[in-house]
Amino acid sequence: MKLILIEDEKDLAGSIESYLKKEGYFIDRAHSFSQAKEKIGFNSYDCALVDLMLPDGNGIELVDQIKKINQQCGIIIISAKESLDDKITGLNIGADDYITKPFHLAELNARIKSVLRRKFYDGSNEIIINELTIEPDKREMFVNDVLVDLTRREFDLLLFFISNKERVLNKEAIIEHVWGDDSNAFDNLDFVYTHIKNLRRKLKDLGAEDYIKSVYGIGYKFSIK
Amino acid sequence: MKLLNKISYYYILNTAILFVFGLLAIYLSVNRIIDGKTRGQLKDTSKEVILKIQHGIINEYPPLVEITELKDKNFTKPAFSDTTIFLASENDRDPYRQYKVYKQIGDKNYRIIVRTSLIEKEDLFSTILIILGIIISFLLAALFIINRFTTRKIFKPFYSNLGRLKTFSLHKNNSLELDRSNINEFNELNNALIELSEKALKEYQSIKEFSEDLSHELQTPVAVIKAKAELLQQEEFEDQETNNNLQSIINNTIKLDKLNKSLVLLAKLETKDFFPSQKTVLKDKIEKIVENFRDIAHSKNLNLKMNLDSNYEADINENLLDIMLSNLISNSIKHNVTGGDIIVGLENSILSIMNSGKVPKQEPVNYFKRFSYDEKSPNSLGLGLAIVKKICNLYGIEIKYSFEKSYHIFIINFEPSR
Repeated sequence: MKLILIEDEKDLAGSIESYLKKEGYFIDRAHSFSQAKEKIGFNSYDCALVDLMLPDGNGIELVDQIKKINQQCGIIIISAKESLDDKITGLNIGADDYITKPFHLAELNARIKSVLRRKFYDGSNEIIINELTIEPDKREMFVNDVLVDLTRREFDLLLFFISNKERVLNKEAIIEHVWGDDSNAFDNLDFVYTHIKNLRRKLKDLGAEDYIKSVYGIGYKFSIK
Repeated sequence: MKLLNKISYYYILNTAILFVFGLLAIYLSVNRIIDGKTRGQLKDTSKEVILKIQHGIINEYPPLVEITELKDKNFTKPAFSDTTIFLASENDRDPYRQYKVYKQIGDKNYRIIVRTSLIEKEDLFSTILIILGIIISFLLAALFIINRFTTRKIFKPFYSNLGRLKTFSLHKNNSLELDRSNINEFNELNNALIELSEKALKEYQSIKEFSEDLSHELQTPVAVIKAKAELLQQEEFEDQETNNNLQSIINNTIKLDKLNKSLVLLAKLETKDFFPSQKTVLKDKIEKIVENFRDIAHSKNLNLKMNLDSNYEADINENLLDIMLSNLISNSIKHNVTGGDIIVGLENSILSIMNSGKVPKQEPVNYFKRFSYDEKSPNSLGLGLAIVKKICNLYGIEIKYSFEKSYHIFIINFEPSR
């Protein structure tokens, strides 16, 4: 998979690149509107991450251009504005998703994967990890071909873990993804623990390996190693 | 007191005082003239009577002419005086002015008193006073009306401009427009006001832009810090303290982000930015939001009860409604006790949210202020209720807080006028 990251803040672009590299993507970086325009013209990408506020131009124009050149390219807008207008324009002109700064790297990663799944494996986008089979579109999961009865939250949790496997996920990123960012403001975050405990038990009961490990003081990690 | 009333009041007061002095002056001068005339007449009559006595004709005509023969010659100076005399014919005492003269005619001593009735004078005075009174009252009324009319006309541009000033608002971003008038002072005032409003508009715009830009510019460095810390977190350091420090950095970037967004929202609510509204079934919205928080409430062993018996539709911006309900419900969880209750009720347009909790340490009004909290909690910004209040203000929604029998109670009426 070939990604282009259009972000004028080099520090942020660097961090995003380091995090995404582990997924095995080929990542191109552009730090300005003109640079991005040039790269889009020469290369074909599977997914573009576009910051809307660039010093020498508007990211919306770039989205337009990418759409013209390559219909299949997934586009995720990164914006500092939470304003609804920007979000609507962004999605109207053909972006697939919209994320506001500051975001969790794990969240961005999960969004990219979701966009790529939708764009490139339409319908049959099964994820197979050893004895686990996940069908994101149908929101179903099987252990050794046996359907696991998961609640909505448990499935969201599992998919988030799998999108970020071998990564340490902090509780805040998990909560924001599964319960929404309003749920981050509580002193007691034990409910995450309860849900993860239930998910682990359901997988274990069907004979699956216990892939979800807790990382002391931070959160959890889905690891098959 | 209204300006027009004040002007009329002083005008009437001053003219009334002037008229009283005027009346007094008229009274005194008329009195003087009449007095002079009566004295002259009485003197003339007495001379006439003396002349007749000298010719041997003693013609008495009481009470107007009285002639008395005196035995002794104890004369006094001729003098005027006022008296009343009983008239049998009228069965009343009437006022008279008299002139007493002593005179020796031949070898006889006479006292001659001539009188004239004052009734006519009194009648004359009262007639004059009545006529004057009527004329003055008419004059006063006419003057009052004319004065009222002209001042109203003169101040018309003043009042219409005052009305425009009252509706002038910085966040509408319209410059102030005022009526011209042919009065120099008013035009000067208008110019000064227009200049002032333009300055204020400019300043306000630049402050607004600055705070919006600032909040957006802040998001990028916060994003960098958060991303860097999360990258470092992937290292899974042996040293637990390093992990804790990283987590604390991440938590604080989250808090910074929320603070920033809340302040931007508050600023937007304050400047009454445009928020498109749509009809939303309140019941569905409440159920959705409560559902979002159900897991958290559950982990605190809270007992969640909902009595939503209304299909009321609120005409409000959906995002703002979400924020408002989320803040209220999450508050009812945060400020609860383990194993406590939350009761959400909806009846017609009235939403009530009750939750068990500790006795508040502050005056209820303070809870709606920015950065007010009973206990400083690491995850509480102290802006939630301030935002709720601002949203309510924007839509004219009534919100009341009370604490009764260890329950915090919020009553929100979406249509207080109904």
